[in-house]
Amino acid sequence: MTSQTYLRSVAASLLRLALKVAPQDSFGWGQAVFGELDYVEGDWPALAWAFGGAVVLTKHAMLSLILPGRKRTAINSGTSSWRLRSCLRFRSPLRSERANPKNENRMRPQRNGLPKWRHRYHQISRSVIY
Amino acid sequence: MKTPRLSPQTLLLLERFLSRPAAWRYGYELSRETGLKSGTLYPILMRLAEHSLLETKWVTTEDGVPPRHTYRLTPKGMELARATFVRSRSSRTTRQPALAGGSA
Repeated sequence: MTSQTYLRSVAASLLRLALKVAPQDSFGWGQAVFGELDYVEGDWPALAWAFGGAVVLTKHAMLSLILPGRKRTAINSGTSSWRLRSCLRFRSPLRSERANPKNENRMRPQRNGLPKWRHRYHQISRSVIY
Repeated sequence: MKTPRLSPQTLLLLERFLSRPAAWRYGYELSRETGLKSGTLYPILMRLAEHSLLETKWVTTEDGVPPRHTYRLTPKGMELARATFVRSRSSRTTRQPALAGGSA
């Protein structure tokens, strides 16, 4: 174990701060990163270690703000932006309804060749405009 | 349960675990061996643990020092890792004759 220096205390503070904002499902591994900090050899590597952990914990925290109730899988810094994009990708109601076979009848072309929900939307938008 | 996505980093980590399958490993030790940073390593470890491929344990070393998290492959994890490496090795050996075929 190494002695406490200024850089190490900065690293520890950084991780403590990240742990405060970390969501519950990431808290365990945040503590694991913190537990290893004392064993990292060298002050700068210790700061880099803490910074890496803090960045991912913060990303998890931000993701939990956007998707509060959703079960999240562990993400790393390399894939987080991709996963975030895939989570936020626009899901058309047409696509999700088509995926469900029960909605087959609803999706059958009706009034003016438009499905029911689209026809209704068309009516509403027309009433607003005109 | 579904197996996790096996990225190159995950494979590297599984390879390190397979080198000493019975031993409990610390995160920093794994980071040094694989060259993975903490922000990459820990999410992978947690994902593997979520899929019951790794077992984890908290170890208290001294008073006043935070406990350390240790990891070890479960039998299921060992099986998956071995199967993955056998598959990757066999695909490598089947590719080689095709490459060597040009010189014959």
